[in-house]
Amino acid sequence: MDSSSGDAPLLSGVRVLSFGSVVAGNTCAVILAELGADVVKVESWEHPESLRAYDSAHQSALYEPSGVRTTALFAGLTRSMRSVSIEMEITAGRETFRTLVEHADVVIENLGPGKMDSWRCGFAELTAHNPRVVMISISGYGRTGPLAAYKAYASNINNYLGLTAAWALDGTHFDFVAGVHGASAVLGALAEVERGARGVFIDMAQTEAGAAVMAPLYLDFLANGREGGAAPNEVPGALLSAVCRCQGADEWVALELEDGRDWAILCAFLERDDLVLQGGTVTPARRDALNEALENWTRTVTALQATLKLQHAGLAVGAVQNDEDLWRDGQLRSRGCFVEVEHPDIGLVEYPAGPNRLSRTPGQVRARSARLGEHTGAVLAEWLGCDEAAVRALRQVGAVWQPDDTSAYRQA
Amino acid sequence: MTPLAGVRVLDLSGRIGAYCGKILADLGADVVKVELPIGDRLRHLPPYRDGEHGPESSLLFAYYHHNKRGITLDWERDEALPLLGELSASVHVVLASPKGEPQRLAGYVENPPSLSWVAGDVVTCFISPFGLTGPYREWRATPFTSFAMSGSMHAVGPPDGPPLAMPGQQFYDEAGAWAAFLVQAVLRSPRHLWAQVIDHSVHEFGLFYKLGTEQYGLDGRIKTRATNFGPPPGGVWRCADGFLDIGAHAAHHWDLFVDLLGRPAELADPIFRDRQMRIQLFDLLNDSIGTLLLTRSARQLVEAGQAAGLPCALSQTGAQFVREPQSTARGFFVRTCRPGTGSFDIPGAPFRSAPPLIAYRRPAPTLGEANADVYVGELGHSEAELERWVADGLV
Repeated sequence: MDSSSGDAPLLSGVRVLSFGSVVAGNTCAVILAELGADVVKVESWEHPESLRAYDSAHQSALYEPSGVRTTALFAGLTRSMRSVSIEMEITAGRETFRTLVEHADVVIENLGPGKMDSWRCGFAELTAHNPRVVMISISGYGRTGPLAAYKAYASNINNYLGLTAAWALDGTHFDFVAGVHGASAVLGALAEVERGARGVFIDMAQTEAGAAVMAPLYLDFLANGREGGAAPNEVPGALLSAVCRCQGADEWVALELEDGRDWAILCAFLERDDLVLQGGTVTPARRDALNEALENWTRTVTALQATLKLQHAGLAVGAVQNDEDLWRDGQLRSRGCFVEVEHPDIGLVEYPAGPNRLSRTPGQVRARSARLGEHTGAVLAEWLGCDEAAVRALRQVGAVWQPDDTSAYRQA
Repeated sequence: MTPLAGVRVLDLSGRIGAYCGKILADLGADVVKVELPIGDRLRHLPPYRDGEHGPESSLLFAYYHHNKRGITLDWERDEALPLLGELSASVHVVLASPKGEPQRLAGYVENPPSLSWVAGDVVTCFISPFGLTGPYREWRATPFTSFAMSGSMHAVGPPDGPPLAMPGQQFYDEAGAWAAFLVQAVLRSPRHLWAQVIDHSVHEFGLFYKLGTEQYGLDGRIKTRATNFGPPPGGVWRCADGFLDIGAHAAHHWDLFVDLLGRPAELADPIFRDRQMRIQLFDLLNDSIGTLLLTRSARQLVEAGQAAGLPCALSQTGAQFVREPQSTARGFFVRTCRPGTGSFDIPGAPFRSAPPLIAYRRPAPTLGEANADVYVGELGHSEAELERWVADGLV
């Protein structure tokens, strides 16, 4: 995905220090990185990010040469970043971090409640070192309020927000929602700082970013006090919203008729003149009849065939794609939406590229995921002007670590 | 307080870009929403304010267009081209969605995707269901059919089917948030880089979403509706007073959970501490945990579980969420008041910040509310001309 123009990436020059972990923090960081920010991921050597050790029946545990674990999932979420290993549990490590903050524009964290403060690296302390720093703190429920200390995984937020009750057990991922909103919020804060503001602290709750993109779930209650939503797969306002079985074992197609014109198109397509609306409204019986006629037809074709034929007729319709369908989706393949990344510890993996399709300065995967501490020396030299002796001194006191400290290698 | 103050945005993107425009407007940009004279699609969708039923009483329109101004123009007709040119000459960003809906957009050029009426240092941000190139580019979509294609619906719902679509338009909105980020990134770059085109696709966003899960590209596994959740104690459990959700991905969460229940004999076997064994013994554990939790209080378990460090939450309805003290304490909901919908609360800023970056300046516009301000006041046309366009149905 090389940029065709000679223009610098949009976010070049923006320096980010990231304690971002798992999905929320890493997503925010990788989005900024692939538009050109210099994102430095900070991890402890003693306690690397938990996602490195994510235990999956379907992905093998892999090891970096240093003995640190990694996974393909971790490597996908941390690509395009550099890695610096700092030990925040010791004083010299925290001092090194705070010195790096003096040369950074943004700090990302989604650690447990109070963790940054316990390191004396809360927003107040960091602004004493860099009054213009932007800090984004991503959490489940926000950093204030009665639930500030609560821990959250994505499913907890689904349930707390009411999406599970309105939809199904395990659906969307609000950690991802918070990460995307975080990237926008960080640029908003940087713009504010560039206009002369002092530093900005962003308190990004997964619940709040989530509720903002789920407003349709709440508005009827908020305005009318009415509880309970639509039935499953029923789109409010649509004349028909159907998920029909197609030829094959678990094949489905979704279709929505938005108005009377769409209804007429489907009646004509299915040759069911008897179901045409003659100025009348859509009765449940008529809707069921059209739905049944549709499914009688979709059962005779595959989901992709049904999609093509009904799209050609002019309707809004889409195959319900499974993971494999998505990976061989003609549109995504045609537009080059996948990117191969070779990693020495993981092999060649095909990842989603990222929707950063700008005509002059497109985003791109800038590098494979770094090994833990791979850039410790380089970043200390570039950002702080540390020479080799200074880096060595920091390593000797255990403040920082990098993988050629072979004496510290673990047994794999 | 308003990072994008001074930025002017022309928003012709309809429903698919409504949230993108909303983010830019919330951050302080002057966003002028351009609706067809019949009104935006969202004006014609429920829910409406009780007792009212018309384009001014749509709650969705009110939410997505807070902080925007609104004008009308029939941008399907070529007669709109001169006015589109004038409008775009005074803005920095144009949002548009030339594909995915039955409406056409006058002046849209296919190859490369661009707008004939946009010139100069203006960011053109296209947001469409599938993108503006490739074999599906002409396809229609709604949030419902778009989500079906995303790969995120097939594994959700009862094992026998049908798969269930997420209610609302969350992927449109999340893709919109990403588009806003891209626009913001362009706006902070040197002026000569503004003259570029963003071809943003919801479908492509849906693929990227998989980066945070165990993707097919990593393990070749197709998730199904029978396997799309972690092993016990992860999942939603019926309790005496409601439902409890437990997230238990880390190794130590099993012990926390067993302690929380007072170390019952059914769960004492150390074999269960291994996550892989819990996957193997899924059904057995499901039965015994389900029985144990039936008589317990979800609310008390959440309090005790969180105190012990177990990520868990009440599984509640949207109305229950709205009443949560946490939202009140953080001032999340904000009051809007406008003709047609009256006074009611809407979800507020997606984040809190110090200093605040988001301000609520104006409620969503009534149809054509800023026509005179924009066409007469800003573009310098006469009121007689505006009346003629209105009579002609152009405005």
